[in-house]
Amino acid sequence: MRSLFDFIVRRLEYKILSLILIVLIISFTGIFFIMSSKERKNFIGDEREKSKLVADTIHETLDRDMMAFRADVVRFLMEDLKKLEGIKRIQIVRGDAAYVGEGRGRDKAFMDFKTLDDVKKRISTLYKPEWERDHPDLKMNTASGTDNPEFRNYLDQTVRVLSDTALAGTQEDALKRGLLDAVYSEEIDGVSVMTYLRPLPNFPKCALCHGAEHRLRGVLMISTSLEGMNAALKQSQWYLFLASLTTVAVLIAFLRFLMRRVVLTPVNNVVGCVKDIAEGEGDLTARIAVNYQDEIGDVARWFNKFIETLHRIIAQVSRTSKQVKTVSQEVLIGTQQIEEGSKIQMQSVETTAGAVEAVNASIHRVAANAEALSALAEETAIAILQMSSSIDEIARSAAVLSSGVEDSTASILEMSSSVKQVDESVVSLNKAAEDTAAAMSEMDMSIKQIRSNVMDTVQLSKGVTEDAERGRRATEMTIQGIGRIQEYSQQVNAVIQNLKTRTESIGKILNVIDEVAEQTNLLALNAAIIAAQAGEHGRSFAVVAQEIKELADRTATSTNEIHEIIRALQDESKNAVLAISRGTKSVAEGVHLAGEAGSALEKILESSKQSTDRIQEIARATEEQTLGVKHVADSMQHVTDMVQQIAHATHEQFKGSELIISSTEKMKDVASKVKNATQEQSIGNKQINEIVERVSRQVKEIAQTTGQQAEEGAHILKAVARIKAVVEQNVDTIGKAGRAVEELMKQATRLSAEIDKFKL
Amino acid sequence: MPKTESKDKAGEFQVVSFKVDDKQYAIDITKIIEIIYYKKATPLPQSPEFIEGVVDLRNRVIPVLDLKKRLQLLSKTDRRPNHILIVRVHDKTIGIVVDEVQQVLSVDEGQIQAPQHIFKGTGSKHLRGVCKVNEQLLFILSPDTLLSGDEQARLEGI
Repeated sequence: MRSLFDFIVRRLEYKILSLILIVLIISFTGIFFIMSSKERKNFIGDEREKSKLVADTIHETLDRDMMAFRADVVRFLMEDLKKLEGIKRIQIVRGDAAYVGEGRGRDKAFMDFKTLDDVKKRISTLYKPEWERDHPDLKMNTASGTDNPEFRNYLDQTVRVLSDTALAGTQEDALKRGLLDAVYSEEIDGVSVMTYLRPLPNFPKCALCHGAEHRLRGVLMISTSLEGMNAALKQSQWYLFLASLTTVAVLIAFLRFLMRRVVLTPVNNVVGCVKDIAEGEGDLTARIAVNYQDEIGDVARWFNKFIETLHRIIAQVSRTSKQVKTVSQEVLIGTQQIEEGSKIQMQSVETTAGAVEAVNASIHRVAANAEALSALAEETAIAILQMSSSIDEIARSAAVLSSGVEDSTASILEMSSSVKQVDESVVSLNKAAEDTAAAMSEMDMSIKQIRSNVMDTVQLSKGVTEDAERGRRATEMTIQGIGRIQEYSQQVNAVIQNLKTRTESIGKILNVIDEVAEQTNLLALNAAIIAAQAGEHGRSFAVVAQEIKELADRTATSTNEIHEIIRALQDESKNAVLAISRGTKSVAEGVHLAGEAGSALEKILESSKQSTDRIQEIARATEEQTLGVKHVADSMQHVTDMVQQIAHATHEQFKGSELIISSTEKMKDVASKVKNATQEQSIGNKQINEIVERVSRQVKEIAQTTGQQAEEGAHILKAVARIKAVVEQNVDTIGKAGRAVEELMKQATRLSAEIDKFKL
Repeated sequence: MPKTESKDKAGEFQVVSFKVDDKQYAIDITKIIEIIYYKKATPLPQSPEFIEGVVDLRNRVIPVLDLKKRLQLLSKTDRRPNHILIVRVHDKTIGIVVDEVQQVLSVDEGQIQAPQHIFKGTGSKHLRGVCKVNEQLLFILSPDTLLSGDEQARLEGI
């Protein structure tokens, strides 16, 4: 595979051809599949048409012969049609549940006597014996292929469509146009078949013999074998495949031929020409023959141009190399001559150098002696100079000392005056310290006073707190007492209420007594009347009656009095209740007021406690203050003592500084005397110096001259050495130049030979 | 209350005193059958104005007479009557509504002044006389004149 790929990649022709081949194979495969599926569809359409034709025939016959009461003709027709080639199954499956019950879609028509029995029941007069001629009677009448789910589905659907009365008008039309027919594929005994289904509705015209309870009489089922169709399909697919293959082969061959003519031959021509030029011995006069106007022609033309340019450049190089060869020959001769001359020059230089060296050595000796002398003179001069400078330094330091003494005198004076000032201020400070001490002791006194006052206040506020506490307790007791009063007054109120109800009940009893008295009175009157009517005999009775009456009257009078008393009592008790309620109210007010007083006292207590606390804090602070004041007073005492000590010290200082001033005055005089003496010494020194310097200058001059001589000798020596070195270098360089020229010559010869190879 | 002695003196007789409109009246005790508590009378149709109605007394129907109306007194108080006097008039029993029965008094015949001596009028026929008892005037009624013969006849039916 790898080698095949490499082979294809190496040749342009194979590359293009294999691409085209791939494209062709893809497109022909597509065409092949589209064509074969179309072919299959056509075949199936044909099969369906065939089945429809058979179904139409059977349906037609059913329609006509059933109406002519010739059901047997249909049966025979179906038996005949079964013998047709390619037909695997023709049967009518009984349809509606109303017609065959649970056996719907399972039984075959014309295979038992179910239908004939039914018809006989309905129209016994029109029953024809020829219907039973050759009629089969199967015990297990089961149609094949009815378990297929597609068939069951179709059956249910068709029954539903036919039962839909809303579609009644369109049903027959749909039936005529074959819209209720269906087709599906299945297998019978391993042979694939196409099953065609057609509904046979129960038309009103059928109702005479078959009744009108159902809508679907049955389904006509025709299964045709698809074996022939599959074979034909395979054959046509095979033809198609062969045709595609042939087409591809022919196309590839044709394309190859065309490509060779149009592309490959010109390319190969150009490749051949270029190869000739490359393999030829540098023949720059060769050109590619250009016959083409396309890209290949462009390649050839541009290649020719490139060769031309190359040709021109190489010709130029050839000319130049020849010139180089002649020039280098001339150079070689010149260098050989220079080499010989410089060798002679070198010998003479070496002799000169020897003479110069001898002269130089003698000069060096003289110079060394002069230098030693000069050094000695210089040393003397330096020593004298050093001495002079040290004397100068002494003079300078004496002057500095003098000015320093003056400065210190001035500062001592300043110090003295400031000491005096300090003395004065210390005196005033002493005074101030004394004053402060006095003030501090006064403050101490007043703080002590404050402290005792604060102590008193503490006592007082404690007393206040205690009083407030007592007041609070008293108020609490008052509140309690008032509470008790309230309680008692409530009890009194209850008693009075009780009394009121009692008096009311007494009133009621009195009313009863009143009534009794009145009745007694009336009875007495009546008795008196009866007695009067009885005349003499009733006289004593009348007296009794009169007495009874009087008693009754008295009773009435006293009950009235009691009534009065009770009324008065009730009024009183009412007043008492009112008084008590007033009392209760004032007690409540009292409780309220006492509560307020209590809370006020509470507040007083709290604030007095707080103020006690504050005062105690103040007392503490005052205590601390007292201590602080004492500390301050003590420290003031220290300050005063110290100030006095300072005063004493400054006074002594003052005295000391006066002494210092006088002694510095003396020192000043001594310093100025020293200064004068050193100045005189310095002048003497300068004179000696000048004399020594003169000697030194003369010696230096001698040394300088001999040094210059020696230097010049050395310069000559160096110059000779340099000449020698240059000459040696010259000799060396000339040797190298000779070798280079020889090399150049060799190269020029080789280049010339190479260029000669080109055919110019 | 003064004590009245009912002594058997000649010309002295007993009366029962009662009040109507704050005035004291009395009727001879012998005319009185009994005294009962006031009860509301059942009005009679087409009866004279002074007949208040009838009451039931121990299963006897007794006409009741409004004394104020009979005596044509202008009512001054709205006092509710307390008692009914059951009296015998001729041979008939009638009730007289009074404010308050007071007591049995003995009255001397000689103390009674005839009404003719005081004034003359139709009202006077019902009065037997006036006497003074305990510094108060006491009108003594004669119950027989309270109903005229015609009126008695009209009440026959009851």
